[in-house]
Amino acid sequence: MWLVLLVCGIAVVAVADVAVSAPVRYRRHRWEATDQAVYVRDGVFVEDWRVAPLSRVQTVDTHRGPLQQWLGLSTVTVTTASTAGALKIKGLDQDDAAELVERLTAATEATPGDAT
Amino acid sequence: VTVSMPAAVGAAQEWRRLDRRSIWVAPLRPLAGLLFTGLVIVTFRGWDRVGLVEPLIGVAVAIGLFAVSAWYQATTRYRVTDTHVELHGGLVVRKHRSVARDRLRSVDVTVDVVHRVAGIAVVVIGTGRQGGEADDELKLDSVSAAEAVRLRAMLLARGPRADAAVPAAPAAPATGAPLAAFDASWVRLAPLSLLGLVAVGLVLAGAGQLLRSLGDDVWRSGPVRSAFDWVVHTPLLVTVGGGIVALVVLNAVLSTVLYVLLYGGFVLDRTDDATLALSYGLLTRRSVTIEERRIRGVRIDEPLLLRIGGGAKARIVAAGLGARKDGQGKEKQDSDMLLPTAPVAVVHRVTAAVLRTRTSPATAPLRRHPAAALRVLLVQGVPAALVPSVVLGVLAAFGLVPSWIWLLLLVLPVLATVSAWMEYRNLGHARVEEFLVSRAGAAVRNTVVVRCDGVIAWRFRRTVFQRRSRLLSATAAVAAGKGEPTIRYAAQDDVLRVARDAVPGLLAPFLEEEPAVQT
Repeated sequence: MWLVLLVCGIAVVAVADVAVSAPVRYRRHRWEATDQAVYVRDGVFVEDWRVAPLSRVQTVDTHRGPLQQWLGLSTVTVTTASTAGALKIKGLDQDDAAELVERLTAATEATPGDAT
Repeated sequence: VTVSMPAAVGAAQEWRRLDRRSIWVAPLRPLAGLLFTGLVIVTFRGWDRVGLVEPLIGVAVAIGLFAVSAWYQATTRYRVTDTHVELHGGLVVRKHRSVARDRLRSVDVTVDVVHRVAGIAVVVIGTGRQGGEADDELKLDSVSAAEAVRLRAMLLARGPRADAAVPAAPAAPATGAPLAAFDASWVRLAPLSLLGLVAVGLVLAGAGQLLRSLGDDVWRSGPVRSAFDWVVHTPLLVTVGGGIVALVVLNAVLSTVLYVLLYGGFVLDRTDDATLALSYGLLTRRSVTIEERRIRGVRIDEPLLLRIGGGAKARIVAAGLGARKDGQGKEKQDSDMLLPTAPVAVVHRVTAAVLRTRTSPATAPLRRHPAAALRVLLVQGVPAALVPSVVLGVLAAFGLVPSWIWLLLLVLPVLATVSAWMEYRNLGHARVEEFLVSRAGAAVRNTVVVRCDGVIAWRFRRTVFQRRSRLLSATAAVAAGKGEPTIRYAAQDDVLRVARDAVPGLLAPFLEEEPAVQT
């Protein structure tokens, strides 16, 4: 009896969580890439903005989990030489992601040196 | 990877081996540890319990250690070519690593007592890669002292690559006095550091582990009993008071001794206008050479006691440096140290010299952060510190625990308040010429100075509660493992303006759409 109540409680909380927090997080997550810099905003209670100039970008990674593949989405991670400076763009459309990666890679290759 | 051994390529290209003497030196430390543990166990258990098996195991382990060491020496090779440093070898898995020479950040030579007697040195070549703890450095354990000097001079020599022509003698000393040299007056500050307490803690932890492996034999032995009796038969106030006095005295004495042993003979010098050379230590002599081009800034730490005594410590903010685990994962090496505990005036003078400025940027007046920052700090610290008191107070109300405990624990929120206030007093940031200065920390005040062109990314954070009070925390990411300057809880407009000006053209396109900055 207790167990059923517990499971029901968890289920209600989970559904509410998905219904409320997912759209909010989706709305908070923003990114932009200009010719000079990449900019990512994330976080609901703790807001977090990251900006890195393209000339300092070291690697550009694309990650697609099974769920993301099914939905046609990608996560693009842009890292700099710093440990604090990784930028993550989550849930991009696959084509957009490919295009972004191509652009960033081109910009990164155009910069000489090891971007430190 | 197959390795051909070109016989006649030139002196600089040929594969070299580690020094033969390292076969005998490398196993000494583990053996000494083993011997010491064995002796302690035997002393407590009594000699009569020692059979024939234990010494035999010991001898077998010793032979094994020497064999492994010899195998390591026989299989490890390294060479320095015009473009790369290569290290080849490994006990079981053969590894071949090659690092481009223009990626080298630092050369670190360590000589402890045994190594010095044997005339050899451990050379660690830092490459400045982030992540991958152990793999980002090449460790030569060990080469002859002369070879270490040659490597150091050769590896960080820039410009025309006449590597083979670098003499085995150390580079010509720079003209003039060194940037800083150990002074007897520095020792006066040593008792204010907690170095001794840390050492006592380490020894106690080691002893505790040993005791656990010994079982309860120890508790029945004579000295422990009499000590226990003494504690039981003297009033509580005397034992607690005596304990505190003993700890303070012990810390003062141990700190001073350790300080002199670790940092005695400290010399900081600029060798050929492009590298900084530090060396220090009476027993274990460490020499660190850092390419100045990689230095992004300086971090100055002032623990409360030292600050009262007028002392400070300084570290270098640079890629490829920083505390890291040793090969065995035991010792921490601080290759980013710039100055050990020293008078503040010396610290600022050295900071200015290293950053090539007239006065240290860290002495500039900093912009204070708004009073709302104090509120944030109080909200973060005080409620959590109240929890133990409240819990134990409730328990005391039911008569489960004596009530003096929760009263005593009321000290915690008071401490938290003081700590928040201290942190608030320390918070500050400034832009001094081409440097960004940020200060934070409660008990340990740290001031980070970084060159603005070393900032490779910005990161801003705030919680929803800080949005209303218009606070923002900003981290300037630099290509360094630790010591990235974080401007905590600053006024939003201030920090965004500083960030915008520090890296021209980076933030400006994004600030327009940030509605909070419409000043």
